[in-house]
Amino acid sequence: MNKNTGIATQEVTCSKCGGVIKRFLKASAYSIICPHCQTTYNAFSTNLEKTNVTFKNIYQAFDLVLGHKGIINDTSYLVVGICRKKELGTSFCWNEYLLFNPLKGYATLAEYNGHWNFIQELYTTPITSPDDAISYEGNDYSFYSIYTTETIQALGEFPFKMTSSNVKVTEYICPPYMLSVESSAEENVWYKGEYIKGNEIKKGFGLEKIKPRTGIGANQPFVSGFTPRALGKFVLVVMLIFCISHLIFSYNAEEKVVFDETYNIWDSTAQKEIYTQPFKLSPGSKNLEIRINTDVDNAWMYTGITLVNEANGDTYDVDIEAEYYHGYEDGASWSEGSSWNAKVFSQIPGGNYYLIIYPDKQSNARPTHLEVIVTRDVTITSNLVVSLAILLIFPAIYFYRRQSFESKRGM
Amino acid sequence: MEKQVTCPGCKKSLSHKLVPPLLLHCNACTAVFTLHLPGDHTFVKTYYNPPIDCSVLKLGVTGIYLNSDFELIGRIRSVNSFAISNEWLMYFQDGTYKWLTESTASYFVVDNQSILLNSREVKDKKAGSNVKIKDHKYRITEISKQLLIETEGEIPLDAYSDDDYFKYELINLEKENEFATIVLHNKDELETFFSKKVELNSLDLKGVTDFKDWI
Repeated sequence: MNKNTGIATQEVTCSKCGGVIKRFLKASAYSIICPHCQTTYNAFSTNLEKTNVTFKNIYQAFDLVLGHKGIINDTSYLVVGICRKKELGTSFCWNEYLLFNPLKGYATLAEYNGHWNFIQELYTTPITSPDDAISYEGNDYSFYSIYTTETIQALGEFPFKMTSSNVKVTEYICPPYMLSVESSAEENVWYKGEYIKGNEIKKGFGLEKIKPRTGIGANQPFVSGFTPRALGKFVLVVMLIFCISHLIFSYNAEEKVVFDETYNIWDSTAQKEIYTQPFKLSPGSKNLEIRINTDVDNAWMYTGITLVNEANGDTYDVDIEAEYYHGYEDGASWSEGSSWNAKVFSQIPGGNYYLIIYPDKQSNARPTHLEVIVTRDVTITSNLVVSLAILLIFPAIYFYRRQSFESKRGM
Repeated sequence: MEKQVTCPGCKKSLSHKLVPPLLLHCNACTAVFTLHLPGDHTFVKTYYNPPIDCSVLKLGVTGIYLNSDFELIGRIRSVNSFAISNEWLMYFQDGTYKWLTESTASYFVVDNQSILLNSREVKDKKAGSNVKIKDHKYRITEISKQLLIETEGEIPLDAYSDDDYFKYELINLEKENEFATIVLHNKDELETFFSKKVELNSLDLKGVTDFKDWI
């Protein structure tokens, strides 16, 4: 009895190299490949029978070894077979570890460049659509690749006939899942794989170290558990909350004009301060908009405005400029700027206030009308626009990174 | 009802539940013999006990399938050109039986009622091709040839065939978890069996092989 596995192992001797071969599957194994010299045997009858199937006896450092017991998805598995496969006509190679649990059956761990997949046979046939896509278990899979595999090295026990012959594989991905079909004239079998982080393998099999991950795996998810659909929903919900909040604030906004006066500013009165009549702001700390309307025409007007609290002398300064230019040039009309402008103080306490206005205008003979309007508690739409714009930065960054990630997939 | 028979190899008294004709294997002397009528047995060959494998199932295991109690009283171990399968005979209390087929540690209950199929249905077809059986569309997933057959316990004589016959495994494309197996005894005789995939823990099994330390 193997203390580590709970399975009574048998030991046989390789007739070619004399090495000891441990049999975990015993008569459940169809093929056995000597881990020392890669001699292949049929193991399904009472005696081992050497076959003419040959594998390369190359040195390859595998992360897991035969007889290694570990836990994947809360199930205890034993490594009973290991093989190294190659995509025909290329240099792409990967390792496959055949796992066995007496109650749960067989599964495969495939490793390529430190990317791991847990694979199980499917007892169903996913239907491929004309555009080579598959809808399976509520997920949409897209075609990923088609290639032919060749097994170049194998060791251990396999419950099926292990050959080095070529098998055609077609893969479809929906990260972290992958569907693949292995087809030949005699077999047409579907498998489902799920991407597993190397750390889970390391932890599950009690490994000290594991091959580092390089590149992007075929079905490696971009951000685990964070799909574009989830992000889209999140952004939409937050946008909706912003819009509803804005509507509520707008509905409840006081929007009360507390001061409205018009002045004629001559060249002679420019740069001289104007003290206004006092006005009252409602109790509470709310915003305050100061707007200037002018009749500047191909000219500018600058106003420095100080809001003064009569009771405690607190002051709030703001500069507001209006400039409006227009003309006709090269057969076309043009204009720029505006004859009005406005600024908002965000938090002004209630009380009695007055303004000190410092007007300055472009020098000309004509007076300029300056209307100053003070409005208490206004709706600021720009806040909503800025918030929504900032919010959209997240999906923009997400999709940019995702696009960049996808372009490197499987390279 | 259980009946007794004397092993022609070692004279040991063996019991059987199936109605003859049947094939019996004596695990004491490894003889295999047929029983056509009570007391009318014919020695076939000295055999060997099928080798120990990693199956959780064994003779004597009891369970419940579709609310009916059963006991595993026979096994056919069949090796084909790709894999090994164990076909366990599920004997029900009313004297009927089905097969619990175990293939690479996956399990299927096979109905022993078969239908005959026209050979045209599978002629020149390869794995991945579709076949229509009883108005349902099936896809061929494996084509194999039987290489070796071993038995233990008791099995109906007509279920035993040591010919090197071809076998097609098919999956129902319209009904989930339903499968079919076409057996080609010769080019004109295509026998089709139907099966459903089952999970072992749904069978309420008692007396299975205990694998310590496994979750």
